[in-house]
Amino acid sequence: MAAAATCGTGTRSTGSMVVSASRNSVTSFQRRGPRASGTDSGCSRLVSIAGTRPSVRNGQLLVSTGLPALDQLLGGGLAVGTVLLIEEDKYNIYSPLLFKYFLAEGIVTGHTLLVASAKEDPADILQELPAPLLDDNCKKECDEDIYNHKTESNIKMKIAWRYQLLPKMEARPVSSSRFGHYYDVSKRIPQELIEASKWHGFFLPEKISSTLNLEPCSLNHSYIKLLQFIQNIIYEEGFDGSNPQKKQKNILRIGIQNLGSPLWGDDICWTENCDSNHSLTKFLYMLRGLLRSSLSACIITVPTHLIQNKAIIARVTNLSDTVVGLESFIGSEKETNPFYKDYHGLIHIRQIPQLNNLIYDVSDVKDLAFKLKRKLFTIERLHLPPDLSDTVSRSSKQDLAESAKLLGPGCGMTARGKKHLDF
Amino acid sequence: MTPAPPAPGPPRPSSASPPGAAPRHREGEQGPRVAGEAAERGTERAAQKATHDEGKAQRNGELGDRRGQPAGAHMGGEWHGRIRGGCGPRQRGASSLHLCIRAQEGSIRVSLPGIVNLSTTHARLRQVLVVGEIVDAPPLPCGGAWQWVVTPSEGVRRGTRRILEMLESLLAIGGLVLLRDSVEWEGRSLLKALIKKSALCGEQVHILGCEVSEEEFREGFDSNINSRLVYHDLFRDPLNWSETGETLPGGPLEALRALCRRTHPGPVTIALDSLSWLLLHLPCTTLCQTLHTLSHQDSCRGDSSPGEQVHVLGLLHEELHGPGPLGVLSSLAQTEVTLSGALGQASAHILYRRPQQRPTHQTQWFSILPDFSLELQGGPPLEPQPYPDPRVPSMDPTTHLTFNLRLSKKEREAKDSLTLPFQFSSEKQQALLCPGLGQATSHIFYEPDAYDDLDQEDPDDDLDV
Repeated sequence: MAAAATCGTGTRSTGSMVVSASRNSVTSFQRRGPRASGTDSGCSRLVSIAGTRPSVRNGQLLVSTGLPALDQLLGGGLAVGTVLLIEEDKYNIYSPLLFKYFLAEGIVTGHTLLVASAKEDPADILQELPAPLLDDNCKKECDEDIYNHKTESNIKMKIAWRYQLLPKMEARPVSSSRFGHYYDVSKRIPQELIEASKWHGFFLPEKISSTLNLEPCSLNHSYIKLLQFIQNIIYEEGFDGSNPQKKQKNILRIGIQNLGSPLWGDDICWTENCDSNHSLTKFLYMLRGLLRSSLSACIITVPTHLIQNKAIIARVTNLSDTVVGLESFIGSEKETNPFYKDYHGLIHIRQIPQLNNLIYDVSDVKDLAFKLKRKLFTIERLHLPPDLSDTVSRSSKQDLAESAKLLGPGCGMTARGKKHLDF
Repeated sequence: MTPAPPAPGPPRPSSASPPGAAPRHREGEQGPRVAGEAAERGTERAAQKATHDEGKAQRNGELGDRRGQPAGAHMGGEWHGRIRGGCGPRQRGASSLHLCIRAQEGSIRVSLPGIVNLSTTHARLRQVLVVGEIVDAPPLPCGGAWQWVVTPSEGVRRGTRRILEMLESLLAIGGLVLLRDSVEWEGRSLLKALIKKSALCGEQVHILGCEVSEEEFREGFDSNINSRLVYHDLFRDPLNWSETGETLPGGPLEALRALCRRTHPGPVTIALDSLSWLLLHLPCTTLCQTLHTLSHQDSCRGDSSPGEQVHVLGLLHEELHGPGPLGVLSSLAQTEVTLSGALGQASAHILYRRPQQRPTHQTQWFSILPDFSLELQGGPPLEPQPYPDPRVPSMDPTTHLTFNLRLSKKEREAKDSLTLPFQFSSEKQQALLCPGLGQATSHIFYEPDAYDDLDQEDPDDDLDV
């Protein structure tokens, strides 16, 4: 009957070995990535560009999306040359936040930005970016967060009292290296950072002169203009390798806001069968071609809840590489559900690309929820996955996903989804 | 409770006893049971509070018509008094307001000479008393004796502030205000009420009239408002067939674009009499882009102070459009009002979408008077609950389970009193939890049980090998 007092200190020490020293928490084991972070990327076979690192799985060059938690869920980051599609939430509150995180990360790492919007002036969008947190500040934020958890649960544990002082199990996905930066949403980015950065803006009302007679074209005129603009920038600044004598290589981060809304001149939110059913899909196809041949990464937000034709949503999803959907609880019946009371919405990772790879690289956690705290946008696991130790060889990941979807407030952990169990 | 003696301090009432005073009024009683003081026992009382019984009634916070006499029955005369506040322990030296109360038949008027900002002086005084009339005077929660007796008259409009707040709040955010109406609950009167409010605030008002004729639209407005409205008529001859040159060339789109290009500074309100009509006659994306330009004109100008906002009021008939256009226009709008109602009472469900903030919504029951001013109602007399109750009791996850997750009282007590095998005293727990400085390594604390049998020589003596 040995009271194993080693367990507490033991896990703490191993935990800190795996996770970098900035986090003193008990987490599940993480594979250590190469120390390449920020400017000191040591791999010589890949280009060493600031703010990128090669993926541990397939060597693909990755950039950070601005949210380390999202990076972790996407398999380390966003691959250069791909499109990240964000499906907007109903009242468009949280998707601009992800958009701004992406752009702020570009400014902090010194990438060139291209911001395109039909709703707001890109200069205004840049003014509202969140302020980056320096290293020690960030640690303080996270520690204060953990400390809050600790002080909240000061109820004396009767049975598991040895675990009282241990910090709570880390529910967020933890990244193992300082690849991404942390931002403070309540503050604005300092002006000098914006001025020191290089950015191009595309504001649709300025670029399009309002002409009444536009001959019908297979592709929307706004989209044509946007593609031409992007192509010019890529060519002139040498992101596609056209000017090899130019200065050091850099990444172009493209951000397009509210694509597919009527402000871009697209009808798909209006009716189910419209003439320009294929404008958006053609645009995405051409955009992906541009991106694949240049050192750039793109984030697009699309109001999919307004698109009337479901087939278009499916096509748009297929034509993008990484698709993340946001579903906020405001106005839905989930707002009063005690199951979701700590969170502001659900985040769905709908698609992850298969780049230079035979298998998909998905994380095992399918049900994630997000919460916008005062300073931070956090993504957390909604609940721990069920313990499937005896059936783990039989269940595939899809069944887990379906069973997670079926979990309602009353069923506990007993839903088995659509799997047929035979005894 | 000691009867409050006449206070030496406060000034005596300067008026004679009210005319027509009933003989049962004792000397010094000042008429109606207007309590002007949050009385606490023993504190100085204001001159209004005359009798001991009255004081008791006031302290209970009830109307003083216990004696069966209607409040304000023998009104008349005027008296001055001082009001002291505070429901807590006696607050000498609390802020005191010098009041002049004039009681007349039908209403009580309170005027506060010389005091401009009451809210800072007195936290209890919840409404600013307009000189001459009491605007609103709800009873105060604590046991104090603030109780204004208000007899309704035309001059006293209850909830005036709330009426203004509804219209003002609709216009507060600026941008596009979408009014969705239906056949049963029409929205043109609310549109006209908003137009009237904007005109009275001094804004320029442009109206694009497409569905009704100009005469019909203008009726109901009085002349000073009518003179401020700039009417663009698209009803009589939208396609310019008569070619008289009166109508706007280019049709509705050109009219909207002309409004966008307007260079006159100052706050402006643009009312689109019907967005539905415009939707049916213009390509939808063009309309959305134009609306967006219209409602965000101020941002193009540089700095936009809140007074320089552009308000675009659009009336939309819900039944004419499918979910697509409704969804798109809702996402473009900063304020969205959906009109409905029950049992003859109209209600507006308002959704505010301030930028960067969570949307908030509220529901107001209202009715519009013939002169297009708004009056708020409390709700229909019978609440048939047409809307889902916003305070839905949150779902209890432990219901509808096949196993029992709850503990009865006895079970809970039994659980609490159970001694656990590793229950140490708290000192030992602390010692284990917080290892000291020298304890870098871990320790094993072994306490042999009753069943442990340690034989040092042969650890496996229970084996039969």
